[in-house]
Amino acid sequence: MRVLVIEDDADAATFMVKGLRQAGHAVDHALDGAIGKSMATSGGYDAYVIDRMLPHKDGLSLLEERRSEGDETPALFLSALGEVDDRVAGLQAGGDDYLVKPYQMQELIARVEALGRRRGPTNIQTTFSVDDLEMDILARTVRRGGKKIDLQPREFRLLEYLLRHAGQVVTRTMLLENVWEYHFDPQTNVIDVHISRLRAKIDKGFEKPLLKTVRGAGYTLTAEG
Amino acid sequence: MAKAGGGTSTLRGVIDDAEDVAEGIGKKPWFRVFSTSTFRYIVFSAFLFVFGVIILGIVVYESTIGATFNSIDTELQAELDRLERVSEANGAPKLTGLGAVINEVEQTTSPVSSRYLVVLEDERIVEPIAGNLRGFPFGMIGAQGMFEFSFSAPRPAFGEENPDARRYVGRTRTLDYVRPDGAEVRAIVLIAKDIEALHQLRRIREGIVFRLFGVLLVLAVGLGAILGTALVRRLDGINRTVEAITGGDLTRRLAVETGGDEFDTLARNINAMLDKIEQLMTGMRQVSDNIAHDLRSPLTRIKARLDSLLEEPGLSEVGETEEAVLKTRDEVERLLRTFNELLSITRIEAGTNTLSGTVDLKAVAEEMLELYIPATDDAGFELVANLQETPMIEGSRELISQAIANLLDNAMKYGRHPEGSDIKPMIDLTVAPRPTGGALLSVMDNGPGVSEIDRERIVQRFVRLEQSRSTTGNGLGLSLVAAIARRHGGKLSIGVGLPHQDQGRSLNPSSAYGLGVRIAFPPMKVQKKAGLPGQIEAKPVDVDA
Repeated sequence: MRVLVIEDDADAATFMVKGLRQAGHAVDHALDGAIGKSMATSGGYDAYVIDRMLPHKDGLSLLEERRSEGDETPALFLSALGEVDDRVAGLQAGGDDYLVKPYQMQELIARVEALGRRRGPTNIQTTFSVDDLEMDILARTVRRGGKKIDLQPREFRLLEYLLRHAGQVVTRTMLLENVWEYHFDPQTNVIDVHISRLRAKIDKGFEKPLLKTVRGAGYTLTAEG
Repeated sequence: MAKAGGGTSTLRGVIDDAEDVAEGIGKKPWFRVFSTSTFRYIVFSAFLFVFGVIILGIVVYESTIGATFNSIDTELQAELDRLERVSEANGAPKLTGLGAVINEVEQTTSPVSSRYLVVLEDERIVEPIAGNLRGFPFGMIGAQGMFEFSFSAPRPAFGEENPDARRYVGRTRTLDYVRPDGAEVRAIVLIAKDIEALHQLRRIREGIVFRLFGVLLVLAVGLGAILGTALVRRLDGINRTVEAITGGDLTRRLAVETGGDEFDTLARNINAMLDKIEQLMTGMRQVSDNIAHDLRSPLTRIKARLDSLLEEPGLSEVGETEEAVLKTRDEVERLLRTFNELLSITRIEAGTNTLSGTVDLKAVAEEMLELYIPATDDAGFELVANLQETPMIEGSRELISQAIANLLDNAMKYGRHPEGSDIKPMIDLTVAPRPTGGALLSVMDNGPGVSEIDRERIVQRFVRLEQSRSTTGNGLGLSLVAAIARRHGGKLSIGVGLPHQDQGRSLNPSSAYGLGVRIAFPPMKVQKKAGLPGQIEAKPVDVDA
């Protein structure tokens, strides 16, 4: 993926760029809003990472302007402001995701990668599969190796989210935000327990585990490794 | 879930006690007047005054009417002495002496002895033998010293005055005689003085004292009540403000009237003190927030460095290095989390954005229940829910669910009995409507509980009790819940939770309950669309107005 990072804090930007590059993405960096705008206008990016507070042009108006010019590139806002209203403002300006500082690198990478897929054709896709695990959104059925698996509604949504992001790392916070729609960080391992229940249903009794834990980051649904 | 019914009976009382917390001041102000210090001072000084008046009355009485009575007594005694001498000079104890005495009293016109009576006591027969008193004052028999008497007026004939219905004061003297036949006879001589005028005077004096007493008492109670009410009213204002301030609203100030009396001085002084406190508090909070804020970025970078270090190949081959890096990273993560929580408490308390949404507490609780049930199951807890329909409340779904999450986290963390206990850990999540409107949320456990002294403390930032030092946590969870409750205008109270035993009463009730945390959310302000049909019925006029 080609990612444009618009961030004025040089230190933070260095880490971000390094982290994203290590994850295998091509990264360009702009130090203020005006430069970022012109770089974005030149085009060719798969995702933007935009800090909300930028010199010369703040992140919100930058993206608003790009959107009004017809730029549909998915964007993630970075901000020290984490209240619900701030998120809403970010999403209204055309942002696709919102990450509160300080963030974890893995979280950022996972979200940026999720962004790349969001605008793809997966939105209208109604069947997903990883290896021999299949999900039909319309029929609300899940099968593995042809055998039907019964899932609770929430487990279904959880698996759907994992399948939509198959092969990517999905963090606990992303799950909490997208499956349960909460934006806070529970202290206990509530998500882990839901995952292990789901894992017991889709992986137990099958030779190849699909739902894997990525240490220090989250989970991934993949047939590899 | 099967035990939900058993749990509700213990809940009822718990919910009720949370109800009247907000009442306190402003109840029965009229009645409270009588317990004000002003009222008591005024009544007390009224009693002192009455006491003084009584003393004064006694002194005046003694030096006027009392003195008059004394001189009358002296005169009566002198007259009786004279009569006794007359009796002796005329041959007493022969009866001739008595004749002389009778003669003497009949002829004396001295005003002292204007009334007299001589009674002869012959063995058992008592008869008056001489006198100008119409009746017989029984008080004279056996009287010592001076005595008072009056004749009750017999019904007077038509148009006739009754001169004897007056008051007298008299003195008796007993003279002993011997009859010619040798029998002993005693004669009682009574001389009396008309004191009707004095008596009237005395009556007037009593009337004055009693009336004064009554008037003073009524005045004192009335004045005390008026001043007390005024005082209560002003103090209520002060108390309400101070309570709001204690409740966390440091921006409130006492009202200062233009009069400039001692209450205004007090209010001004308290306000100045509050300004100072607020300054200090915000200063302190700002310092801790600044520290948290400024340390977050370097910490995040440290963590990123550690993360990238962990990515390096070959790290696991350097022995314990990887372990050390992992542990360090976890520590940094925990520190970051503490700072984040601290900052979110501050943000919630500062209340920068408005809570414009309406929240269905029951729905939020159901969602949180769904999120937490697997975790509590795994941890061996029985999570019992008792969710009733409540009116909609004003607030943020996000914040309220975070509060519930924190409470459930806490219950799972601290609601467990030490190893070897056969008490099955239980958590109860209750949502109920409040009788006064609004909704009540409570999370209770049957864990070891928290002693009464510590309950206030555990809400404060960074406070962790001795027994929980070993567990992970930073002492901010409940502070965050408290901040959320305050932000919603609700009241957080910490009390007893579920009983350790299911049935019966334990002998040691104080330690036989877990911890219970309750948040009472206020009813929604009117005019917004109502959540329950009941509310619409209660406010039908507002729709058009």
